[in-house]
Amino acid sequence: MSGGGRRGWLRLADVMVATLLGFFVFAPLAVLVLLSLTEEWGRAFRGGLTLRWLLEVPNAFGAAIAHSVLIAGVTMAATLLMSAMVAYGVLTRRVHGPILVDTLVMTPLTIPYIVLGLALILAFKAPPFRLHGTVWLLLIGHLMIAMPLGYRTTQAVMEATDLSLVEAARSLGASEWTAVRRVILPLIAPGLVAASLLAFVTSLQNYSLSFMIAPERYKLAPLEIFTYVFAETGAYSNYNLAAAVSLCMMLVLLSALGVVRWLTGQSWHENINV
Amino acid sequence: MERYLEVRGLWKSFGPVLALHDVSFAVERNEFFTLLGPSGCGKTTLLRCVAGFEQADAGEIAVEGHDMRFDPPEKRDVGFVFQRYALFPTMTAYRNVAFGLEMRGLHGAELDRRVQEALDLVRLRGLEHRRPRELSGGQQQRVAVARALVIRPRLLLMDEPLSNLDAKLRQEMRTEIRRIQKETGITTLYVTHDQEEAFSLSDRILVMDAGRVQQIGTHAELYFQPANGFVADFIGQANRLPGEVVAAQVEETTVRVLGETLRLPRRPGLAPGQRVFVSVRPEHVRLAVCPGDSCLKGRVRQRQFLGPFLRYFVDIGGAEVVADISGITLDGLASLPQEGDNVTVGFSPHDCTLLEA
Repeated sequence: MSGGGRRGWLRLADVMVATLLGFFVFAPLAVLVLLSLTEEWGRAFRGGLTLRWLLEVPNAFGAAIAHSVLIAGVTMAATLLMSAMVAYGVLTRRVHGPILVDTLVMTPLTIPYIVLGLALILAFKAPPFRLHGTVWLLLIGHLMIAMPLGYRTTQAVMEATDLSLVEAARSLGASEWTAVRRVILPLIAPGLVAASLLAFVTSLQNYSLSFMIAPERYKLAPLEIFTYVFAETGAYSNYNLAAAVSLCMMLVLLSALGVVRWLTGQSWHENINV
Repeated sequence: MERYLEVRGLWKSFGPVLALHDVSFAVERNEFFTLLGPSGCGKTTLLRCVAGFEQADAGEIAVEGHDMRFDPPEKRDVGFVFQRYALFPTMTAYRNVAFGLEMRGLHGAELDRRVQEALDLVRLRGLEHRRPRELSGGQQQRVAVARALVIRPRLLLMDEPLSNLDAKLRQEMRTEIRRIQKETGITTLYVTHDQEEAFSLSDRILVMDAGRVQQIGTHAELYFQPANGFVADFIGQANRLPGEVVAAQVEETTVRVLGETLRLPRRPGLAPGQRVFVSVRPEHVRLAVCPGDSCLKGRVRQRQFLGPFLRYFVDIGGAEVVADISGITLDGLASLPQEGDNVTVGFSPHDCTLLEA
């Protein structure tokens, strides 16, 4: 009987956790949705519902969103490529000192982004690499903050793979590249997808580092949103529009997540318990 | 004798550890050749050097006279069966087997015919659309063998392929592997630490220890004429009695063992005064009966009933001799020496091997 009672308590705890999570996670999101669909801030329903803000997004934020997605895309691709190559190198012992590599890649995670931004500016202000004020510096910065997450995820799945699979494929006549492509990649694809997503999101939503190193007049979505929310002049201070663009970006990310889930859905479950 | 695979003067070290120490041997065409030794003796390293997964530091590995030491694995045309199978987890059994053929540019009906043929050979028809983890250990091993054989390689290399199977299945797969090897006639290099496995499968066996070749021979040669103390100990059980050479004649060598003088068949290279071991198998030791002059006196310390035979542990002046007495019956049991009995221990000089100490 006491077992049944304990189960009852557990169920109650479950419900509480779910409620709290629901409230703290979903309530702000709900406000965001509401905001982007109402006429005026603070008068949720009195002002009436409207699509005005959402329709204004392309006009006001088109360039910023395009830039953000482009930077995030490039960051993601570079992170994935570098992570996969380094992780494979560590696995096959071609890269020596895996601990050193790990430390190097993970360090940016321990530095406040503002400080990292300052360091990047100072390092690349003068020759030989005069990159301050260019998109390149922005890309370098984003790569630095995306790599820890991307590399860790990639390295974890890579480490779990059996190198004799590559040897087996090679003894059957496959070159090393073919062996990796045909045998290892399908096996670690779910991990690589997760790594890409993390890198993409890290870049897309970053504010503080971008604020420091983005070129002047190079609009990025998070910077623009900040401007709209906290602009000094009342005319620009538009919570509704900021909410609308946030909603758009959220939808972009969620659909990316959905597509990825759907694409790898099969192997996702199959490979987990190999 | 045709030298199909020839390994000559192979050296390999991993940092300070010397894994292969001047290893040389030759394998004939269609031969089943086994590398036998305790774990860490270098046998797997040797196999991996032949496959091209490891680079030997020096030496030559040639198939039909062509040195392939510097060829990458994919150019060597050898099939490899791994201890843990290493089947491609995302592919079905069929695709696993087809992989090597695809790499050779085969497709369509020809590919299908060859895959089915290989699956038939290992008796896996009907399971070809399962993934590796939907197959039992034995079935996975069959897929691994089919995958290695379907490309009709010049050599089949197997690295402890049965060590992950349970005892009964291991016996079964042992018979299967020998059947498949006979049917295909493929020259096979097989690695194991299990002496019984080596004996039941192989035409010839290479015994390895500490990176060195200890002896190469048939099972009978290894068992009855061990080249040294390591082989005598490692292959089966052996009593090693310490002694000293008294005289080395043309026909025989006289040795003093445990206070008795034994006249044994001559072994070249032994001088009077040299310390030696006389090695004799437990099943060649007789109790109570004392033929000729190879005869020692002792006391039974322990007697174990092991079914097909009785195992005696006899104390001879501080040294222990193990004797296996077979052909026992229920009635005969009582008349055999008991624990504590004084016995004479005898063996024929022809069953003894003289080993350098």
